Amino acid sequence: MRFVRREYLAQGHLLNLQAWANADALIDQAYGQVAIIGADGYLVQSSVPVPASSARIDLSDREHFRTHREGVEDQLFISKPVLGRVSRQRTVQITRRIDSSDGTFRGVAVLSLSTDYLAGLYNSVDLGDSNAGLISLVGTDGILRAERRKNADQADLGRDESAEAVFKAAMASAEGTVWAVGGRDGVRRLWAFRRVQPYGLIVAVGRHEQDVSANAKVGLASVFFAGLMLSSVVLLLTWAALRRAGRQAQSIRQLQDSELKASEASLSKSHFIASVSHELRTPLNGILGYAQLVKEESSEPEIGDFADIIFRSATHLHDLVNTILDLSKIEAGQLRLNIGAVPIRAALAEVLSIHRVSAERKGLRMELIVDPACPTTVQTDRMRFLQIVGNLIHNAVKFTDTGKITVAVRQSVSDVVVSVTDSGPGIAPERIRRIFHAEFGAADEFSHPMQGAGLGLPLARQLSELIGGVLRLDEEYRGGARLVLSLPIDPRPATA
Amino acid sequence: MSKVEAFQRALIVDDIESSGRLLARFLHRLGLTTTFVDSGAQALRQLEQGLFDLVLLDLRMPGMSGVDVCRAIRARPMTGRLHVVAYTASALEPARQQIQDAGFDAILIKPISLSAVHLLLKQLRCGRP
Repeated sequence: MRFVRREYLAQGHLLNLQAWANADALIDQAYGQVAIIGADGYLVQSSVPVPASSARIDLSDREHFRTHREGVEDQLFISKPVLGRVSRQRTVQITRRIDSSDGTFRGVAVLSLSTDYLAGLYNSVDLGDSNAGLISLVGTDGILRAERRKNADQADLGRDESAEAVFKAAMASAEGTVWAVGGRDGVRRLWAFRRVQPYGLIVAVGRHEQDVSANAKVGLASVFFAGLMLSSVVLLLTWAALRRAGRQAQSIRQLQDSELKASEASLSKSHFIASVSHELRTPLNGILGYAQLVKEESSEPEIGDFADIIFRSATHLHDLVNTILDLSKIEAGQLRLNIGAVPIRAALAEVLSIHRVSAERKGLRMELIVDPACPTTVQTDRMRFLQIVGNLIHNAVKFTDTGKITVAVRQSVSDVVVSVTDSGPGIAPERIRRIFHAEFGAADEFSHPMQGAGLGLPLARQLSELIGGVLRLDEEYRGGARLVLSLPIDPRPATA
Repeated sequence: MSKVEAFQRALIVDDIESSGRLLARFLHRLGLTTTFVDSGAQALRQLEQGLFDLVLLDLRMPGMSGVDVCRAIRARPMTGRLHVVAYTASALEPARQQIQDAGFDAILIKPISLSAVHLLLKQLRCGRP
């Protein structure tokens, strides 16, 4: 899990909160900030840019973080007004817990709303003609979250209202009206209040008694209703926004989890293939060895022929096992290279000689053309270089019935370019895209029954990349198939 | 296939009989006399008689592994300078390093062929005086 978390922290940028917050336009950037706190309490993401040079921001001591870490209920928490450590503004933090799919705590999604924003929301509400109208948002802990006064003077946010009559009334019953004298300004107001239960908030609207006439009780109710609605809308939007941010964060975590699982699966698959290949060699040793003995020692020609068939079939099987082993080694990053100066002509002549027998059996000619201007050596892994060219020649021989196989080498800028050209039917256009991919499609096997698993070219491609080269098909060549390997004459250490 | 004069008597150690017999047959065709045993403990007892100049050890055996046997051979003054070959199906890199560290002179990878065994003997002869 440490790894997952580290991955998340390292790759959290996938969740681009800045772009998201801008695009969403739900919250004015001047007032709102969306952020994600990781399970360790450090800030992971914020819609407000954090200077790259600054140290990680520790938010583990924040009340909203601690509340969510300790409780599992999926509900919003609305904090006391605090000075934002990211936004540097006085904010109310509206937060929501992020869970992983198994219910463990993965962090907290935070919407920081500037207190100015909250106060501004109530601007449209008619508070009466006198200057004493008030709308306030108080937590059930008694701390004032937001307040709107007529002629907006500086609201004293964070103030403890628990001694106020309105607060006591709201704690006693969920909603109602009460006449009360404010402790701060001594003004007697008619208050309408309502507790917003799941969020632990009290919305209260107060009107000066001068503004309250006999029929204005109805007016107060509508004012109160407007205030309540606005508060509810803010909370609803906030809840939706946080839910979305939380889900986004969660789905990214799930993606990262599944990516990790996939790479673990791939690694264990590679280990599995490696050990299977290993296990296959022991019986192959018996089959190949004894077939060779029978082939060479039998006095009956037909028995010798049969033994030869067994021997060649087992050799083919052995080649496949080796190819699969190499592919899985590459996939697991376990294939090591042994780079040195390789004499080009001698190496190519050696590969050609290995395939000469099978070519001649089919009546094919083989030729090697070395451009005199080509350097005599190339810095590469000799064994892998021979393996790539060998695979190309093997393929050429397999698909060509008449004519010849030409291996040509020349220099192009800083590359040695080896081409293997055959006079066969060429590669069908619909297959061109797939020749370098290791696939075991049934359709492919039916349409090309003689091809086997077709792993030679995929392996050649992967090996080419491994030694810093490029293997491609010359799609313009029309006389058959031409595969071209380009290798740097002297690769940089990075590719070596 | 020409005879390789440098070696006369080989001890083959393999818990799979068909595998050991195959190697014995190939070595025999190259002019060597061979003795076949199927465990490391038996191999060490055979070696006490000092009759062999080449030991071919299967790596994966119950009881003493090929690596264990090779270390024991190297630790004894009488057998310390013998030619010891790992006879293995392993093609994995970590195994190769382990084989070198244990003191083997060469590796013979399964599946084997007559030409591979012949090449091995020639290389062993050239590798050490």
